[in-house]
Amino acid sequence: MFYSSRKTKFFLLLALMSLFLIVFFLPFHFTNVPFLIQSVLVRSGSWVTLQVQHWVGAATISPEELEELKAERDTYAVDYQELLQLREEKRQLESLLSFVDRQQHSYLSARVISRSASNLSSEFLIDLGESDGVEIGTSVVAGDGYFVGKVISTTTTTATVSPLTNRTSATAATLLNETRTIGIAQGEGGNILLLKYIPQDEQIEVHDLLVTSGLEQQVPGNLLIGIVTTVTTDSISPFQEAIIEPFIKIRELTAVAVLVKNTSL
Amino acid sequence: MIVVQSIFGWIILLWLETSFFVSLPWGLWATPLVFTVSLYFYQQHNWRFTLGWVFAYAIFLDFFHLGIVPLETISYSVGIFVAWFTARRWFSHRSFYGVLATMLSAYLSIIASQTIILFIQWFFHPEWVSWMAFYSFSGLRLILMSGLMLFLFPVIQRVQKLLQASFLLSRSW
Repeated sequence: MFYSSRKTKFFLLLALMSLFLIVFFLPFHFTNVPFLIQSVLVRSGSWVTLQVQHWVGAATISPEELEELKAERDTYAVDYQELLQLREEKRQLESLLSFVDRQQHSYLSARVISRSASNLSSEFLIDLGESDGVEIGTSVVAGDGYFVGKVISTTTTTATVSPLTNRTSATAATLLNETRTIGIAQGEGGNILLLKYIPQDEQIEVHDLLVTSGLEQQVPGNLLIGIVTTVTTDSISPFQEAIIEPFIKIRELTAVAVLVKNTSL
Repeated sequence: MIVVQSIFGWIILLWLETSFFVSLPWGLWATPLVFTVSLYFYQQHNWRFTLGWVFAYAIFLDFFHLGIVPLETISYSVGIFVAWFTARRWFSHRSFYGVLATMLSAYLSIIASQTIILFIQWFFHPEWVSWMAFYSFSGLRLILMSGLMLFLFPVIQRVQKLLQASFLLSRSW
């Protein structure tokens, strides 16, 4: 109909690409405007999801009660994790390695501005980038220290986060049981993790908490990951596995915190 | 003016899909808004530049790692070619079924390309790939695409008139 001439087509393509570059790559303050709009859209979608979940579950429990129970569960999980951490620190004669490790990072809050539509991977885009000190491998957390995932790519003003539930994600993790079992938490897609390579002689119980081990360079220790729901043992295999339900639902996240290295220390 | 409006249209669609729709429940997060709307306008209204929307969308997905599989630009380029070919040679632009057939054949070709790419990935990292998740997602997208078309077909002309009346869209659209 229109755009019949080659010049017009070329101009259109050029304009489209230029705008794309301006909006997503240039570190000017006006990038905040599209990010703000995108963030509002993400929040709106998540709000709809939350309302629908409440509406569907309304037959058994009220939305307020559900929220209260969730908050209660989260508080207990955090308290329990902190209690165990304090015991451990005391037992090790105040060896404050974990504490120092935590202090070497500062938190920057970020908004989720885009997500992947796929159920194979749930990467999402945040409005912090290289200009804010975000690097590939940087840890991303939510709430009171729930581990969300790691940054896999950056631009000047944005960063893509690969959540721990992705099939391509593997996180060094520790179970908060008697022996502090160490394993690899592998994403299984959806909202499930698999804790692999646990020796058969380790005692794992359902409801054990899983935290980051701190063995990875850019992932501090003691960030909450999830809770053990099932333990599978195979007499032939030298290892046992545990299915972990993460505390965080990636699709419901609208804001996160990025752990950037504190250069002042 | 029309160039600016077309860019603006692409950005609005992109934001709606990658920010709003992906946060919705009940599988609505998989709605392929940019692809469906672009192909609808391409065939029904002969707006050729909307194929560029699909291409730019694929580049966006690849650049920010938000795609279903790696190298979405290749998969979507195949889809664009199939859409162009089927719209010109095979399916009528006058009927709902013609437009839907173009759309479905283009998306099926994208699924085929994605399958090949995913197979290569599976060959090197089998633990990264879930065929069931991929095909259930692709099936869901086909259903949502058809559903969106059922909604778009009667509604879009009304929206167009409304936008023209409110001077947000020029009369030539």
